[in-house]
Amino acid sequence: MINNRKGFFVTAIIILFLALQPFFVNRNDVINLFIMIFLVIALSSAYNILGGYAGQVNFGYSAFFGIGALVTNLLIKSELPFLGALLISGIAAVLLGFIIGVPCLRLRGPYFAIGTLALAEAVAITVMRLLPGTCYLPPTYMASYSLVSRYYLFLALAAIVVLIVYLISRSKVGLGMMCIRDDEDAAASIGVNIFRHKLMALCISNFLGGLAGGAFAFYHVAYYYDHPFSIEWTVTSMVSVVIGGMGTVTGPIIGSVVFVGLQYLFVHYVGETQALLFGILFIIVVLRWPGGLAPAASRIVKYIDKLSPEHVA
Amino acid sequence: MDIKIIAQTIIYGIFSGSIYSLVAVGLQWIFGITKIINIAHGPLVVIGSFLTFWAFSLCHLDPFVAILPVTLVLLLLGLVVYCVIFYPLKNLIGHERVHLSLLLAFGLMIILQNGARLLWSADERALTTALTGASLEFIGVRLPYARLAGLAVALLVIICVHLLLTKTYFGKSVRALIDNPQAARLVGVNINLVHLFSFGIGIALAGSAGTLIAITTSFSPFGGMVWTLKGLIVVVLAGMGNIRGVFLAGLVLGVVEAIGAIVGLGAYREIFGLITFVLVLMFKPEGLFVRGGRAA
Amino acid sequence: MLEVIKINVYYGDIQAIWDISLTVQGAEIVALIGPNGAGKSTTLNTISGLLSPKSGTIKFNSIEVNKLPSHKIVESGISMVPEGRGIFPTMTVWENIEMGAFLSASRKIKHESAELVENIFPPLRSRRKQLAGTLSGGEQQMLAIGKALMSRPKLLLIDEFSQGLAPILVQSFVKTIEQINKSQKVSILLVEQNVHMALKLANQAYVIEAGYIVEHGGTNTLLADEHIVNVYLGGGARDSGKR
Repeated sequence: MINNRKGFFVTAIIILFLALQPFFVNRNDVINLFIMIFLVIALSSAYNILGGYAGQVNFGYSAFFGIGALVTNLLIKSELPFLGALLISGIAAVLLGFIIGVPCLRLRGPYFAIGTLALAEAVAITVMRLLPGTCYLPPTYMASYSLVSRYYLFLALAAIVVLIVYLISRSKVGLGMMCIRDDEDAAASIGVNIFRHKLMALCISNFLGGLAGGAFAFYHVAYYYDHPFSIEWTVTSMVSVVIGGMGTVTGPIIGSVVFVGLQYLFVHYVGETQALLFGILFIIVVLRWPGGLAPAASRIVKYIDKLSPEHVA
Repeated sequence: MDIKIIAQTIIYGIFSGSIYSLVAVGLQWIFGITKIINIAHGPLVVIGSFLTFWAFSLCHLDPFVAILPVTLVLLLLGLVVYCVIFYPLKNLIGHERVHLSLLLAFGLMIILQNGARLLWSADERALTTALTGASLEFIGVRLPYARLAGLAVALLVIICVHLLLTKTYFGKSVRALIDNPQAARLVGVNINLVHLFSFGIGIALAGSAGTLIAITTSFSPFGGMVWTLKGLIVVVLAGMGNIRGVFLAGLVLGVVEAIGAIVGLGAYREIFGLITFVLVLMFKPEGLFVRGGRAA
Repeated sequence: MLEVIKINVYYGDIQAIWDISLTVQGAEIVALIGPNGAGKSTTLNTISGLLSPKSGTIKFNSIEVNKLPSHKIVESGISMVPEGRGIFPTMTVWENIEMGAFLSASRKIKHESAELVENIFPPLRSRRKQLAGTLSGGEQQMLAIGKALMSRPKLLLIDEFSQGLAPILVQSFVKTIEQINKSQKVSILLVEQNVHMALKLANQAYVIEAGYIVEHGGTNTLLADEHIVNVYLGGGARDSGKR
């Protein structure tokens, strides 16, 4: 991909650019759009750890996002400071992962996907029955609500998750995960501890997903308790990763921007048939770029690189 | 507890279980052969229900007769869907295949749900036929005619599936492909063709389930996911790839849920089913009703 | 009859066999021997159509078959008994035999073919209704070969039939394979790790090591060859005559 020094510069510039946005942009809907994009970047990058790098399809991912939201909301209602609540919800997601994710880890391939789907649905249904009402942000938070501070929260969250993914991709642990993804039996035969790597990927993925859930609870003023548990969040993460490029750092970023952007355009400009047309477009995109847009983008970057003066002989 | 209530409960469990079996058998067939988890299966069942509704309201066709054209339409739909959407996946394996097939199935689900909403509005519907409302009294147990007919039709379809699998060469090639794909290729089975027709048949079966659902209970454009989940549970209980075990597995689920309801679990009985499902998946992934040994 | 001309086969980006060429004449038994991982199964799998060569040609009775899908190759008269036997464990013995005659041309004569197969392997006759997965190793091997014969092939590819079988059973299979070759006029290409047995059974043999053919010749010559004797036959002076 892009060589490291250039990569750092570009990343720093982009983050600086984004950090300065609230000063220039006054429209709330644009800031909300950015927040949504950052949220999806964080969520899908975290999903990418287990799904793209370790190759395990966690089709129940939304349960962890949901539990993060639920725990944060309950804790800040009990007067706990927000950041503390956020961390605890990350841990709660990991604990939930032990209950529903770990038992499924002995399953392979599509069976893991089905198992996690069912358990996550069980969690979602339980929440729906136990808490059928609307979840509100506590009054103290509503009174001091600042969209800009939430903007920075989500920007920081996205940046941290992407950084963690970057570090994993370059680490020995990440290498182990990728071996498992490519050929589990071969990995086992060279001594990779399959269970430990899958477990780590699951825990990190869930922890970060839980953090994203907590941030979600902090941001939304009112929503149904079971909304963050909905399968749509799993699909959003999966789509962003797949069309962006599984197992790459920039993939989820590109995918999230494209996916959220497209949804925004469809909702605002297409009208009644928007969902139907979106579904069709969705299928076309997935079929046309099954490897993701990031690899295609990096080919373009390499091509541009080759055109630069130093390379022309 | 009154024996009549228990008997009634079990009978109702059998009624709903037979519908679950019919929903699941198509899903199982598709998964067993192509390893695609068709999460759009539920919405396809619902399309079957809506087509039955059309046959009934526009053509005044009795739903029990409509089951034939509906099944045929869905067979064609299945073939088209496979060619357009899933055929490009044929060379993929591993997590890529799982990811992409799940996403494509999800995209299909969106199209079907919203297409249904546009065509038929989001209202929940049910069909009333000549048989609705009336029931047979048998040793103190109520047996609604519509439900009885539904059970009979489900049985008939399952028997047809069984015959297809055991008496025709196509059916045997399906079983062979599930058993040992490499050996199947070596005796001359054309894998692509079997994949294509298995998908088509799977969807056709979803359609027939849809007709029965339209007759016996209610349906709406966004109610598909529930059926997909029920189907997945039955698939796992039967044992992945075990097409012929699906009928019994469906009945088991139906009866277990019915018992769960009267024992007081009420709203949580779905969770009961889901947890049983995962336990089976973890401890007996071959399923509850598996036959045969393994290659020595 | 079978001409394999300089095929190169890859698994993804990794090359497994280089410029492999071999021929099998009518009514011959040819052995392909070599150490583990040398590419023997890869070669057989390519001939039967499970794998495709990146370059090279395979001709069967002068028709090019290397670009054909596996079901078409079976149609042309080549049948394979894969490593691990390749039976259908949840189907009955009879259903397995039936599936051997899957091709439409074979279906018409399946009862005669089954009669033939059951004459060659009598134990199968009494086990028609038994599930194939519950058979013993030897019986499964009989079923596997019998199934492959149902399509009335002109060329039979057999991959490691002796694996997991007691020596007495192996001897009995050797006799049966000879019988099939003589009475049914079926050419046989045999992949084997049991080199001694393979060289006694076959007329010709090819030796493959690390993806290359390193030796080729009549089995009598090879049995006396120093390299073969040292590497594959334990180095001692054994009886080097045929039968």
